[in-house]
Amino acid sequence: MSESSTNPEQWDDGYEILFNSVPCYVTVIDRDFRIVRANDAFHDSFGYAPNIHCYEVYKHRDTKCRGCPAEKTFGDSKIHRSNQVGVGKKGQKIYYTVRTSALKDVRRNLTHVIEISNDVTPLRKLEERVRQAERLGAVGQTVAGLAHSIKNILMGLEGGKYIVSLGLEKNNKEMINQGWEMLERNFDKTTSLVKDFLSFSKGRLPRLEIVDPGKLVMEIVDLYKEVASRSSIELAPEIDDGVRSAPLDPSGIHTCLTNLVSNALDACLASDKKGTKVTIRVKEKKGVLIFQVEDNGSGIDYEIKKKIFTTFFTTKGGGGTGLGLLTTRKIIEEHGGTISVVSQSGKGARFEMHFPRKRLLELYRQSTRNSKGQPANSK
Amino acid sequence: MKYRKKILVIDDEKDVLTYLSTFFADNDFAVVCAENGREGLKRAISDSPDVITLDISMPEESGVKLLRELQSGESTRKIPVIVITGVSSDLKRFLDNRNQIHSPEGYFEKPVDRDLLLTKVKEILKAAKK
Ligand SMILES: Nc1ncnc2c1ncn2[C@@H]1O[C@H](COP(=O)(O)OP(=O)(O)O)[C@@H](O)[C@H]1O
Ligand SMILES: [Mg+2]
Repeated sequence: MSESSTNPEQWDDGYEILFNSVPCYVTVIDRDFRIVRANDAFHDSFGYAPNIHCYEVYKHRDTKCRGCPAEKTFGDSKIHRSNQVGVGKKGQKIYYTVRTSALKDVRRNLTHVIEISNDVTPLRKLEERVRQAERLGAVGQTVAGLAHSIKNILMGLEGGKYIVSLGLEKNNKEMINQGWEMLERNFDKTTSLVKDFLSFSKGRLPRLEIVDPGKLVMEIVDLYKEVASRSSIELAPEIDDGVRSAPLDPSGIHTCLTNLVSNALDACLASDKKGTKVTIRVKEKKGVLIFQVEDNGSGIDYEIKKKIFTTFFTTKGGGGTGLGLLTTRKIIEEHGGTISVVSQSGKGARFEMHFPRKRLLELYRQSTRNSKGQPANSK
Repeated sequence: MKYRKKILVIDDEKDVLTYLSTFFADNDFAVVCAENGREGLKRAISDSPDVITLDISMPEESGVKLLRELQSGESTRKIPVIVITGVSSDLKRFLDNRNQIHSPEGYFEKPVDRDLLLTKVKEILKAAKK
């Protein structure tokens, strides 16, 4: 091979035709990350690019991308790949998978890197559509389940009304009390159903503020300590020393903890064990903020565990809405976190929320950028 | 003393159970309650009620299964059953089209109009007496 043919800036016509005909984006960059060659496909989608930094053209940014695969290839001569989102010449988002490989001159010096990218935008769009369809399906399911819960609540209210008036008619105090309790209970159910349903269907971005996770835990303990002690359940916070403040949506996390703790208390009530206990823990592990809610109550059967995160699944009959865990998971995912559960039937359960700090920070930066010039609380 | 008719109320919704049992008791029935299908079947056999109201909340096995068991059981198959459901009219179509199941004697959707329910119960009992 002659030197001129390996130098990408001096390719002859044969290479040129081949280069321009391949059905993917191909760019060749030098050690300064400037594009020295780009093929027709690239020009079509990203625009004209000679001698401009590749990150400026691919992504409209003015510094190198993090985890740049070309940089790695310059370092070790090996092939690297990564998934990226770029900006096309019309401002459109372009999802692509890029592979980078070394281009050496005749003296085997690594002078250039070649970047070959496949456009996966249509695939991404399809995925997004599937997700949307799933969401819509969930809404349908939700409405059906909602109608069912409402019918039972209506009947409970109707029943309460009837029993109260019957008690009045017969001057039967016990009956009046019984009917009144029914009214109260079903009224409360309406409130919690509506609240759960609203927070489930909101689909908003979390409103992140820098808060102390330990303080959030203590708020929950204050909220539930009376209910717990009335049922002789111990409620214990465990806040690790190393836990720092974090960008979280305080009302969202409050909802999550409320849901997990009320479930844990229910599980303790459902077991006839003595010495039941609910522990709310917050700790830090390898850049991940972790909340744990642990109980030694009734535990969860294997078969049931598979269903607990689905819409309206409840084992509590009319006492539950079956929305608590679903809502909880949704809020956690909006924070870029995950939820998991470990449980053994009869022995109790431990629910864990994991929030990678890196992701929280990213979200926080995004949200402060988006709300620039606006007070944090306005929509 | 006048012979009181016996009604078995099966519903896993506690408040609905209280509601219906109070209502029937006030209308001079002897009431037996059951909170789930298993207990319902036991009571249907041991207490031999004159009529049963059965809650089928979801078109899932448990309630439908109980209906089938009641309709095929030696000692229970003559007892008229009124189905009360929280699901929509789809359930009625579902029950009517199932060949192992006879259409129930009565069919009501929650929230139930109690006077209509009482009228239906009396009607069924009258028909059974003949
Ligand atoms: N700590 C726990 N111990 C045992 N079972 C649990 C626990 N948390 C949740 N579950 C199970 O998961 C189901 C769904 O919970 P959730 O979505 O909060 O709805 P709900 O509390 O209204 O039933 C509960 O009905 C229960 O069966
Ligand atoms: Mg719950």
